[in-house]
Amino acid sequence: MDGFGPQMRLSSTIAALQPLILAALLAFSAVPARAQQQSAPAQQPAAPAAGNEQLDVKQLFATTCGWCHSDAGRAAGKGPQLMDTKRDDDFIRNRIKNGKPGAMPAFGTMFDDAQIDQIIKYIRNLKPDQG
Amino acid sequence: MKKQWRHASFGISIAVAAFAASSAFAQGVDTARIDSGGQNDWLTYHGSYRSYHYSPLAQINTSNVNNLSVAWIHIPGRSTRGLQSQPLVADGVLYYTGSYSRVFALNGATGEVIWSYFPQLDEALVARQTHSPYNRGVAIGQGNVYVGTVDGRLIALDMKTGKVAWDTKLIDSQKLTVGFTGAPLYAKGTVIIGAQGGEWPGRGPIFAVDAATGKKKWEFLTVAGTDDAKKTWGNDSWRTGGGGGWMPGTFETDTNTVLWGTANPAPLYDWSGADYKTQGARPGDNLYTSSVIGLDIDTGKLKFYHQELPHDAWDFDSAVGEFVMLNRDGQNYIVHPNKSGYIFVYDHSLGLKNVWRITQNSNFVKNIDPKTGELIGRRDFTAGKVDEPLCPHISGGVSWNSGSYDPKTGLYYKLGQEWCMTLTVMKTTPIVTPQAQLNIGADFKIAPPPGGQIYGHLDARDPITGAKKWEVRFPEPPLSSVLSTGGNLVFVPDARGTVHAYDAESGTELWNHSDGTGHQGGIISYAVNGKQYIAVVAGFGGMASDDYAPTFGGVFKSMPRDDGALVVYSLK
Repeated sequence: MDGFGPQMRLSSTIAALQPLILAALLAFSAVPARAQQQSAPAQQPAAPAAGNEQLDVKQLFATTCGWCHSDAGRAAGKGPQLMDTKRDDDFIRNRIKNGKPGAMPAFGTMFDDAQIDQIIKYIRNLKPDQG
Repeated sequence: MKKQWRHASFGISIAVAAFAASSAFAQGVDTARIDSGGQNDWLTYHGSYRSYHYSPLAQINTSNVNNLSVAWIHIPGRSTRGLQSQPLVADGVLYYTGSYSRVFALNGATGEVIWSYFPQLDEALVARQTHSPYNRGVAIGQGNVYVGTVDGRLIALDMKTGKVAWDTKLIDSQKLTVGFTGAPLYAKGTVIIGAQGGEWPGRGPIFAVDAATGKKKWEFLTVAGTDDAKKTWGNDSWRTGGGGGWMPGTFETDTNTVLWGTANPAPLYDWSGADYKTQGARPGDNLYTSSVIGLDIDTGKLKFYHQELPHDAWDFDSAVGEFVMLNRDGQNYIVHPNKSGYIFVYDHSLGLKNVWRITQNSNFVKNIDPKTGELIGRRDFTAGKVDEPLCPHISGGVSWNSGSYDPKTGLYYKLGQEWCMTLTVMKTTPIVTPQAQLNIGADFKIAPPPGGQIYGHLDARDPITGAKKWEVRFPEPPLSSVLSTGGNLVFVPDARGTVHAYDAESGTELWNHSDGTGHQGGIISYAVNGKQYIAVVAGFGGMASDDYAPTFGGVFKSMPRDDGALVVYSLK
């Protein structure tokens, strides 16, 4: 997986990932929804802004990005089609961080560079929907 | 969260010209005056509390409307996402807003700027918002003009000078991301405004503020605002429930009741399957989302309500619609459109009397029982691809701009929208830090209705029974409000940029004129010194209009999404 760094940091990476892994497992488990919501008033955020956490970009699109980027980024809608975009990484990174007035919000305080890398990777890997 | 700034404003007030007309500012605007509607004025967003979007003026009528031409234009500037405002007029002065809550007071006869006010907004916050920075209009009353901001404030400006009377912060928009885009409502010494919400994981407050001081009087949480309501949100899902009341409702003067429509719950699309009462993201009916509510104007306490869509799983707010208060055969009715395209007919206390549907392509339910309001054959999804396209599209069977009721014809003129969507539902987790983000719950894409094309239609309907008298079709759904007048005219500004005038009885088109860019806002009529005017805002680029260029192409590909103008017509 890209962005994970050398092997010697794996244990700390796993430690950092644990809350996210837990949240992800609970979210997708067959256990009724009650188990998801432990005691904290706020849900586990899907995208905390720190470190090399694995970002579930597919879920992020269904949560937020898909409002404008139709069909998980595969089709033009409110926003442009991301699949097969000609824009380079720098453009996409800048757009995610700073947004575009009246068109796209700025997500620079939401995602760090490593997370944006994962979003770009997701975009580059988009394929037509197999149905 | 509740800071008030009583000292000098952060914005810029400019008084440009002394307004010479002797009647200017001579009379105050109060509840009684708003209630009666007025011949020459447009004193509240919906025209009067009765919410007819109708002007009794008949100087412009079916025999001379083809002589209608542009009297004057005003360009507000910085019209990011176009113009969505509904102008107001009191005693010959027109008040309207542009994006970023720019407020203007103009001479209604000439367009000369009397004063302007540009609030200083938290622009870094605005950059992080989606449903922003447009504004849908002001309220007037008690010598002030009231406007909401996308950074969560309600501001009062002196009606004569535009100087700030008070500026009250109501929402922690830094945390919740949302603020106010809707127009406020003035009634009985109180200014009421509802927050954006819906797909945003907050609790959707509606606020009442003292009109004179700016002090908050009460706050009603549309998500689980009472103990009973909390029980309708399983697993503490009320904490990120959405809700809100982002368009102005109205005021029932004889019962002291504020009527308001509430927004949808979050996430928009649930994975519960049929057992939504115990499974999924937000088990239960999710009160008081997608509901019409009646609140005591003095206390904010809930008096009565009807939930139009229990456990709304399709983003079909009740926040969109006008509350048309009419009388027929001695009975008082309230007619309220839900974003789904189902039109609900109530009695004075929101007791259900009938339900009819304006949308022709609709399958999110098979029907809604007209007597009980029960949703029959509802489509509740599980995670995964949805086989049959969902109708109507997330932009609704109707949108947030208003229809018009003409008391002379007895007809309700309302725009319906025919579009659908494909979607794949996915379990999501609400994002609330560092600030709230949209919680949709699906990937989706716009699609045409089965076997057909997307289109829009203006219907002339009996508001109580839904019986259709006539219909005009448009190749793309118009997104603006509708105006009817005592001159037997119905005005519809369309998405391509043309304003149309139809004969109110027959639907025959009598006049049209291009404003140069698409419409997605209000239209009113008023008179100054005996001359009648039609004022309409033009300027495309809001949420629903974002889909037009990729879906329809044509003129929408070159249409600006950052420009707009107020265009005012009169007879030559």
